[in-house]
Amino acid sequence: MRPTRPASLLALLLLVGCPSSSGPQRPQVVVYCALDRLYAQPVLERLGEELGIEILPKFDGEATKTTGLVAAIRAEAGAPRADVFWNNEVSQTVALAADGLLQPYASPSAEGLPAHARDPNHLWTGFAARARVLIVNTDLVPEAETPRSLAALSDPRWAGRCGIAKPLFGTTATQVAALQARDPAACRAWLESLRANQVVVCAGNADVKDRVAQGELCFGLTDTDDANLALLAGAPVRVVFPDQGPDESGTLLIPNAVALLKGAPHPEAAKRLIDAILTPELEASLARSRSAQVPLRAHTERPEWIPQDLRVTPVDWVATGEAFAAANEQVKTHLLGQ
Amino acid sequence: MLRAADLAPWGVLALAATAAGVWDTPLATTLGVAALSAILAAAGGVAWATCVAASGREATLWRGLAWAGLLVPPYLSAVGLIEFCGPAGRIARAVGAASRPDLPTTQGWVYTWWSYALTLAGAWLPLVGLAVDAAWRRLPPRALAAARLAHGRRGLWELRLSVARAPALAGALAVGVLGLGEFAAAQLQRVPVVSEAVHTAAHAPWAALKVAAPLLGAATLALLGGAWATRRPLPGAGVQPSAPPRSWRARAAAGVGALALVLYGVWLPLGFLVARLGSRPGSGSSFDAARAALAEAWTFAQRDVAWTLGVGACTATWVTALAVGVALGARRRPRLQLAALLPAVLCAATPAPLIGVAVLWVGSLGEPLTWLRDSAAAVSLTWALRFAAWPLLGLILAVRRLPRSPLEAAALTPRTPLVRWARTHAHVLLPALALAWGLTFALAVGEFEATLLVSPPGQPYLAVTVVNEAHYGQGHILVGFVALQLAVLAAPALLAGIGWLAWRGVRAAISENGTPSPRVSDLRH
Repeated sequence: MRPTRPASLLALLLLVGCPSSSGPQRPQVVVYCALDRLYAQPVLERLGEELGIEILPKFDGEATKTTGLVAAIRAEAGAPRADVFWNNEVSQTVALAADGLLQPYASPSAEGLPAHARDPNHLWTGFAARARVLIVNTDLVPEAETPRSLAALSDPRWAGRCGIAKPLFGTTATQVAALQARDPAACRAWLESLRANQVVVCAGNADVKDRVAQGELCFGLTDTDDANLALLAGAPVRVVFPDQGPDESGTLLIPNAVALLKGAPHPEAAKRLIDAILTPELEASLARSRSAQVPLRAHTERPEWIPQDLRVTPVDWVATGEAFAAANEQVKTHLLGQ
Repeated sequence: MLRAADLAPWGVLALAATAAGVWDTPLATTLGVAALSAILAAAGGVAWATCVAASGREATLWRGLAWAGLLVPPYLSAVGLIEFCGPAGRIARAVGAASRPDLPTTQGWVYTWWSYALTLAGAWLPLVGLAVDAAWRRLPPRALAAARLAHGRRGLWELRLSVARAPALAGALAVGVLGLGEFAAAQLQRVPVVSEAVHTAAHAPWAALKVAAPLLGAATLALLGGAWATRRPLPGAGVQPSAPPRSWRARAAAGVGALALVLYGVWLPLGFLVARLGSRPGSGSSFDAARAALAEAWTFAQRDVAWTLGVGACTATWVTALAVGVALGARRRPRLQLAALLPAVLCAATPAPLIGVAVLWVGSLGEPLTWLRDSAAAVSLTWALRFAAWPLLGLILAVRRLPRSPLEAAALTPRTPLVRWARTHAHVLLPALALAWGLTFALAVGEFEATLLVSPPGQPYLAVTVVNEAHYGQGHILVGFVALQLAVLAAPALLAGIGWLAWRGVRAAISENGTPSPRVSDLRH
C-alpha cells in the first residue's frame, strides 16, 4: 500500500472538516471581554460593522469571571494576541496597569466621564457602571423587614439565608478589594462576620439572583444587571440600593474599564474601537439594554428603576487595584477558610 | 465468578468515597466523587444490562437510548437535575416546599458531593452497561444452556457475572477517570473539585500541575487497570444467544428498569427542554415557544455551532485515522501498543484544565508556536489529547479481533491498495471506526473544561456557551442552546443515516445493472 493515498484522503477530510475562514479582509481587533457575552456580543457586532473592523472577542466563564481573562493576559505577555481588554470592573485592570501590561491611550471619546473613573496616566478609562445591590425575595421577606444595609449579611437573624458570589472573582472581589483598600481591619472583620453568619457563597452573581428569585435564599448581594434580569422575568424580588442613609457609606458603583494592551498587535484599529466604546451613545445603549448599566456621564439617562439621586461610595480605584491581591488572601483565610 | 481479589480495588474506592465526607477538601472530594461514581456506574450498568438481557426485540431501543444518553455531557444532566430536584425546583414547588418563610432554607441535596457523583454515574453508566451487554451477547447459547442445566438459574447468573467482571471493571474505572477531569457539572452542582482549582491557577502552569499532581497517579493506575481488564478474552465471538421466550410482565419490568436507568443521561436533559418550553412566559403554544427559543439561540450562537461542528468533525476524523493507523501498525506488537496507549492514558487521566494550560503555555513560547495557540488547532489538539485514549483503546481491541485468513485472501484481489484497504480492513472495522469517530466527536463537542481556556478569540464553542448560560440562568435562551447542542450531537448520526440510505439506493441501482464485487463478509463463507 502506498502511503500517499491515505495521507491525501486524510488531508481532504481535514480540509472538509475545518470551517472556512473569510480571510483578513478587514482590519482585526482582538478583544478580551469580561462583560457577559449576551450583552457584549451584540454591541461588538454593531461596532464592528460601523467601524469596518473585524472584532474577535474572547469571553470568560461566569464562575471565574474576569480572573480567567486576566490570567490569560499575563500568560500571553511574552507574545500578546489581545489588543483591547474590556473589563466589567476596574480593580483587576488597575492590577494589570501596575504590572506594566497596559499602554496609555487618551481617547477623545472619554470627554465627560468623571475624573475618578479615569487613570491619571490614561492606562484605562472607566464607563457605564453597575451598582452592588441587595436582591430580596418578596415572598420570604415582608417590606417592613427588608434589609437596607450590607450589615444585614452579618445579622444573625438571616443566618444561612443570605448569599454572596464567591469573592475571589468579578465584582464581589472588587467590592472586597475596595473595602480592603479603605480599611483592612474592617474588611477582615466583615469577612469573619459573614463566615460566622453562614452566608452562602454562590457560584456567581447570577447564581445569587437565581437562588433569591427561586426562594432558596431570602436575599443576596448582586449586581444591577443580574437584578434587572430577575425584574424583567417577573420574579418575586425587590432591589435595594444599600446604605443610603445620611450617615451611611452609600452604594458601590463599579464601572466597566477599557484599556489598550501593551504590545497590542493591531493598535490603530484597537484605538478606534476604544473610541467607539467610550462614546455617550454606547453608555446610553448599555443603560437601555437588559444589563441596565448606570451611565457615569451626568446627563445620560439612567434606567428607570435606578435612583437619580443615588448616594455612591467614594472609591480610590488605584488603591483598590493595589489591594486586590491582599483582599483575595483575606477572603481565602477569613471567609473560605482555605 | 467474582473473586476476593477482585473486590480489593473497590474497597480502596469505597475508602476514597468515605474520605470525601471526612476531609472537606477539593482533592478528597474529587477522589471520593470519582470513586463513588465508578461504583454506582458499575452497579447501574450491570443492572441496565440485566434489564436488556431480559428484554425481547425492544432491547435494540434500550441500547439506542443508552447510546444517546452516553453522548449527552453530564452538565446537561446537572441542568435538568437542578430544574426538577433543586431546592426551589419544580418538584419542590409542586409540593409547596419552596418559598415558605417558615421553613429554613437549605442548599438542597442536589448540591452535595454524592449527588454530583450520582450525576456522573447516571450520565456515564451506559459505558458500563453497553460493555457488559456486548459481552453477554457474545456468550454462546450452549454455554448458557450448560450453566442452566448444571446449576439452574443460579448457574446462569454465575456465568453472566463472571463474564461481566472485566467489562464492568474497565467501564467503571473509565467512569472514575472521566470524573477526575470534569468540573462543569461540579460547578453547576456547587461542588469544589481539583479541576476547578487548576482552572483558577491557569496563569501559573507549575502551580496548576502541583494542584493536579495527586490525581495523576491514581487516575493512570485506574485507566491501566481498565485496559488490563479488557485484555481478558471473552468467550465466543459474535454469537447471538437464543433467548428463551419471556412473559410480557418480565419484559415490561425489564423495559421500565432500562428506561429508569437512563434517567440522568436521557430523561433529565429532555425533561428540562420540555418543561422550560412549556412554561415560557408570554408565549403562545409550545411549538411557538420552541421556535422562538431556537431562533434566538441560533441568532446568537450560529458561529458556535459552526466551529463546534467543524472542529469536532475534523478532530474526530484525524484522531480516528491516527488511532486506526496505530492499532494496525502495532497489531502484532504488544509493547508498541502499550507505548502508544501509555501517553494517551496519561493525558486522559490528566485534569482537563491542565491540558488546556499546557497547550496555552506551549503556544505562548513564541513563533512559530503562536500559530498553534491562535488557531482552531489549539482546540483540536486539546480535544485529541483529552480523548484519544478511548478510540485508540477501542480500535486496538477491534483490530485484535480481525479475522486473518479472509483479509489475506482479499488482499490478493487485483485492486489498488486504497480500494483493497477499503474493501478489507475498513469494511471489517467499519462498526469500530464509526463508534470511535462518534465517541470522539461526542466527547469533543461536549468538552467545556479545557475549551474555555484554549478557544482562540473569535471562535466561540457551544459547550462553553451552554455552561455559561446555565450559570447566568437565562431561562428560555438556555433552552435554545441546549437544543442546539443536542442537535449538534445528533448531527453525525443523522447524516450517517441519510448517507446509509443513499448508499443503499446506489447499491440497489448498481446491482440492477451488474454484479457487485465480492466483499470480506462474502469471503467468510
